[in-house]
Amino acid sequence: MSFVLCSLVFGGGVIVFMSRSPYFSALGLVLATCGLSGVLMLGGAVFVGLILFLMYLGGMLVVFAYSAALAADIYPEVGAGKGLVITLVGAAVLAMVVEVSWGVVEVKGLGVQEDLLGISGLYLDSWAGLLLGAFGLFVCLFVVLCLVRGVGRGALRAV
Amino acid sequence: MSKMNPLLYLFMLSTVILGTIIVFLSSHWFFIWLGLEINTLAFLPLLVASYNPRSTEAATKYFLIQALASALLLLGGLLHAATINSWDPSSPLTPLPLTLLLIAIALKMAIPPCHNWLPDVLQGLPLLTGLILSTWQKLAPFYILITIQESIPTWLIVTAGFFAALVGGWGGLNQTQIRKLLAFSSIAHIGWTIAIIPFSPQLATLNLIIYFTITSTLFLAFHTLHTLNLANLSNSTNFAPWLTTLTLITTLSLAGLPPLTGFLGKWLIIQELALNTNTPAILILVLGNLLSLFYYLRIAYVISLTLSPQHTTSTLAWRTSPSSSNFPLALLIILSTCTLLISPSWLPLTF
Repeated sequence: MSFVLCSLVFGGGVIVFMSRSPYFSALGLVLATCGLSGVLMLGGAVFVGLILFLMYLGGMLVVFAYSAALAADIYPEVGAGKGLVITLVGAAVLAMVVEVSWGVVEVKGLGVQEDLLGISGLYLDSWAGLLLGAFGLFVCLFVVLCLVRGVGRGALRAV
Repeated sequence: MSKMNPLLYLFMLSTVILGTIIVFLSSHWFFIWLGLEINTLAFLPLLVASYNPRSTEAATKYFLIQALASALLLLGGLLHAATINSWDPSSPLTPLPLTLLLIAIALKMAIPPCHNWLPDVLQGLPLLTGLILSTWQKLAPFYILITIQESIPTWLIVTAGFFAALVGGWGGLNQTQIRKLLAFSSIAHIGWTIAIIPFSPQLATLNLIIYFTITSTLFLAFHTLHTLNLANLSNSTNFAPWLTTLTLITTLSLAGLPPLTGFLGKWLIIQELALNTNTPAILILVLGNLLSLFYYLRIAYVISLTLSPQHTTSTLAWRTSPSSSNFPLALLIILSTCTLLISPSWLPLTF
């Protein structure tokens, strides 16, 4: 089980950078996030894994997919040939090596859930850090809006 | 072309400063990363504020390199926390997190072998934005380097230092664009600065601040003279003779020649390395500085020691404009040329 999840993570990453269209890269991201979320859940951090599914896949990736649908080709190119298959097999081998040598996924029971302790600590003790992170994301929003504005003031289009 | 909204520019500039201050004030690896990320992200609109394709290209290169560096920094901090079970930045580092952190800092500060982005990025920016990139953006990674300096093997950082001096020297030899020249001089000076960190972090801070003063002077002087390459520099004597002469002297100060302030940093570093009987390091650093001296002397030669081919009817400008005084530039010129004699007053800056 953990081998399947690890190879999903690595294989998803491979699909992200070897695809010829952003749609399939997003598919690779979905696979990688599913695998990583499974690894987290097996390790005992159930809440964080669910948050990953909900926020990353259900929030950010959905927005990205809609943006890609607005900007990318209507009929995307499919497939990357035998290079993709070879790299996926290599990724599966790498996942097996990582899992066997590091024992990265330890299956734990649901005794004390440390992820819930951590998240409640984020809101209780390190509230300043939470606000700082929120400010950082706010700045990131303005930076992105400033960079992709277009119509003579934008930068990434340089027109 | 169109200019950026001044309020937005001010907000981004304040956030750049805030990011560095967060790095200085934090005692947790995650917040060090957060401060650096805020710093990098908020700097990007400043890079594209002059909306032309060359600045866009520079901003893209800068962002890709710095995003990689931030990711490596976060990974190093997380691995360190997983190994030592402590998020304290002053706890001793094990080799793997240390390597990741050093690569991240080298990418952020343009230390060889991670230096190639700096000349291209600096070339694409206007001089004042390049000033912020060369001075303020180096403070936060330097602070992280000082924080982890007990864990860094001495041979590694001294070797990186003299490779930086050599690369800065050889790289600048063939340049005619002022901004690329200043980029390679930045690489060389950062090399001198990090070579002394294992022996005396205070001297490293002093050298960094002296370098900031002199290079700020040069950036502002070239901005005032509106010259971007050596060919334009040859003509600047005709319309700004005093500033041209002072730029000559400041360039010699950057080269580290004795009666000027730039000599203070190099002198104290050579003395500290000699007291630690590290003579090969002194030799290679000084030879690297000799290479840099060649292109500083080329600037000096072009700027006022030779008369370039020009129209015979050009005359020296005699009008003066008393209303346009440039106080920051004047102050920086004084600080970067005349303050060797009052060296003890530089010491409080080194904590």
